[in-house]
Amino acid sequence: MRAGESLPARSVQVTLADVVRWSGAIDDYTPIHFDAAAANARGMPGPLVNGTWKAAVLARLLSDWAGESATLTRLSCRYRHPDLVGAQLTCGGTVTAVTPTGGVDEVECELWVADAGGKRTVTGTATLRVRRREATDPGPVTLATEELKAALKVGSEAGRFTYPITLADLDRYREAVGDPALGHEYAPPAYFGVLDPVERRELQLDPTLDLVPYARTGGGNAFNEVEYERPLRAGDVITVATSYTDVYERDGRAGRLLFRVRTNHLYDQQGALVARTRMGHVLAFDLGRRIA
Amino acid sequence: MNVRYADLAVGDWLPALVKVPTTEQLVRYAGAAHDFARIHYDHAHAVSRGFDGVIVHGLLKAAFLGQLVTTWCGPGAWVRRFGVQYRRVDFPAQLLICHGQVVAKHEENGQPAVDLELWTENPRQQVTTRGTATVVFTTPEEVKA
Amino acid sequence: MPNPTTAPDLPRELRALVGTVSAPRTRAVHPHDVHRFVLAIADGTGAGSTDPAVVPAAGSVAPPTFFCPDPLVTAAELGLVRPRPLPRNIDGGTEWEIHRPVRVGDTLTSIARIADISQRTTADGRPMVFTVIEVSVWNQRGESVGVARGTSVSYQERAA
Repeated sequence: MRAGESLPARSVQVTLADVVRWSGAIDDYTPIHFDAAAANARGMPGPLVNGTWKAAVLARLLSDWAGESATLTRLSCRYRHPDLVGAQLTCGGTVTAVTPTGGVDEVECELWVADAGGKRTVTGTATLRVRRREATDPGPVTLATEELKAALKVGSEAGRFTYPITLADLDRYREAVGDPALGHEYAPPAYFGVLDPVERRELQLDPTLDLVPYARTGGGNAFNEVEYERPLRAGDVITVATSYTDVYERDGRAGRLLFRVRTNHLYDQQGALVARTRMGHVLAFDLGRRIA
Repeated sequence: MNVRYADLAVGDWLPALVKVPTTEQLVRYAGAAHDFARIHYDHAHAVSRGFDGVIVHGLLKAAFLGQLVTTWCGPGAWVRRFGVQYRRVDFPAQLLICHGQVVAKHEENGQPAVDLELWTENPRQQVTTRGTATVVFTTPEEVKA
Repeated sequence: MPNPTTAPDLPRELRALVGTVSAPRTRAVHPHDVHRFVLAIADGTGAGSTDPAVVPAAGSVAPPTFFCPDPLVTAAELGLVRPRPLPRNIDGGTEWEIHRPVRVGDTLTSIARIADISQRTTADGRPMVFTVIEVSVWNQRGESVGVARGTSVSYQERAA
């Protein structure tokens, strides 16, 4: 899809049966939509088509045109003029923008419904999320694509986060773990896991993984490692610079395993490097179950 | 316990640490570590992901292994390197037994050090976590930043 | 529809309605509900297809506006009173944010609220009141499936 591309104009004849079916579908029997006398009492020559029916038809035509790899995420319609039941309407649209983000294109469209005289009775906009077609023949499935790596910003710093360490934090941690050494001012060896923006949901690049079109069969932390230059202690204020350094895959018991490894550099309040950590996460996919 | 470096030998076992994680413990850990992934407290969510119930946080198991090591080496030493690999999931209300063994004695920047192999076992004696650590026998205060 | 221009202050009794929330409603997504919806917007041949083979199977995805096809209608069903300060009241437009697909077999919970009320005056001095009614919908896992907003336009007809 390209900006400026037109959706093929489609002709739609609105019948009374359509409106009656719509009334049943939405459970609303406002008579102006199917009763001529009620319409006449409102000064209309005949029953009026529901605006929301026209919007739903625009959504259907858009989905039909965009195909299976597209998902409608937003639709907005203004009902500018009434259309009469029995009218011959034309529906059309234009792609106004295509923005690649991660493994998908965000496609913005302008949509309209026009009456037989060409007057636009409904105007609207829509946003589609479209998975990009594989440029080359499918062959062996690769999950760790260049697009995924770009979305995770592999190789560049994904963010910096600052975490103070207090004695209360260490005591709460030790209490939760069941470690009796309360009041000890030096942080326990696994404490680096607390100083991680992804574990804390403060950095979320992983939504791009929702775009992998296969059923998930499991996942979680794969490994965690740390090398300290010195012990961390209460009173430290640690700045964590995190980046994805590796994305790779292999087949395992639970299916195709996609590993993402992040490297964190931890700096103290003097700017000295105090630790390096590697955080490995894995997601398992069933390549036999492709999902929409 | 405060082991003396001179008394250590390759092959020595660390005293085992037995844990029975509870769901309350998982909730306390989630709060202490700011890790609120639902798989650790939301039963329906865990079941929908194919597990029998909520699972123990990997980093909590890492913390158990950390406690195993620091209880053994005492405040006269510090853990310079520490790594864990999660092989199988563990569930609350089940025994989780933490083990460690000395696999090497060496020096780090002139300081005495040991390498340890660590692991956790579930009630079926399957290894659920594997880990390694390097412990340097000098007090934290003496470590130059 | 007349074109609005200036923006006078909203009467207090209308301003007080902003934020009103309806009771919630929970409903299962039955295959026939989706089938009825699809037939109502289907191409040309629409009338009369009750072929069971066409009824969507469990787990199949409903069309994108199915989760709330008409928010002004849904709000009325949920007991939220649509303000009608002026004699003519029409549906000015609808917006849908679609967060997740809805499948046959899902259970949806909806709640409606008056999100905004604003007032304009037309070029020839007639008042117009715009009420935005917002319906939020979640599935059985507590996940948001979408938000639908309908704008009710209340106005005075031009004098004959």
